Amino acid sequence: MFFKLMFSRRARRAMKEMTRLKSMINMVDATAEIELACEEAHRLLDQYADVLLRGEDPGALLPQVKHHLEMCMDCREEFEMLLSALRATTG
Amino acid sequence: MEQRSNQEWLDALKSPGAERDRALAELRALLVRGLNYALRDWRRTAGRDFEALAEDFCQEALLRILDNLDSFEGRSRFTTWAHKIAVRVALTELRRKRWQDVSLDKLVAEDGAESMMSTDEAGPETEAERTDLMAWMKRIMMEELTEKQRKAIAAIAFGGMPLEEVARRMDTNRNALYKVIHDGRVRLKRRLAREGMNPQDILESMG
Repeated sequence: MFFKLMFSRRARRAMKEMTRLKSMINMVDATAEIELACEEAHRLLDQYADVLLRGEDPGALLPQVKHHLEMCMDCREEFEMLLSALRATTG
Repeated sequence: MEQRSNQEWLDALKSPGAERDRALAELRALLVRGLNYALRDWRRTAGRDFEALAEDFCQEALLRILDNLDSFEGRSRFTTWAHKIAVRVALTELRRKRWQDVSLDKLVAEDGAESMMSTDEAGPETEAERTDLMAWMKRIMMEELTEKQRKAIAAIAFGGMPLEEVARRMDTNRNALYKVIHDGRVRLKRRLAREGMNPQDILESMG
């Protein structure tokens, strides 16, 4: 019983590590030599949001902002909240 | 509510007297409405009267907006720019509140996030791992990343802590920490290229 438990704990840990390594490799693969940092992306976030809400493709106009939003969880969360606030007030 | 052009917003907010008060009241109402909706998933974190908290965030945002009117570049609608500032104010505070009792060291240690970037752990499974791709990747991360980069990546990517909160605990800021992590990712990418390893091939081998 004890060994079974130990094995399953190890198996779970190995699975967790594998998942994390894969996410790390995906992040590395998506890395660009030059990326916007958070403040540079934030400066353009309002423009990016307006372009999107006009039904156009903001990623085509501001590809570096699009890439930053894919790489940065904080900025992505802010962008989604901004869109949410805009949809609530301009509908 | 009347529709103002960007220039009309700027003129009204810069003019003294009743016109400015009216524009401020309009803007405040707009931001409160936006935040109340956008932050609905944060109500539990807010912990007290959410509407009052949203009012506080808007008050702080209005001060910043007035202080920074000259930095508005006109690339968007003025109101979009104002909402952006309000969302930043609110999220900064709510993130701080949500994570205030979490220690960075504890997070990465307890969750095992730190140990996955180290190869010095002994154990029956470790011997087997050393020969495979996982162990190799872990060693590459140890060799290419600084301790600061490993800790930040572990906390953010694996522990789920916001960049902003990790930065606060490392006595830096979000922008600088993003650059530190980006530098680490670039180093790893270059190393894989030098080793002739394609990331997608590695992922495929991992199954």
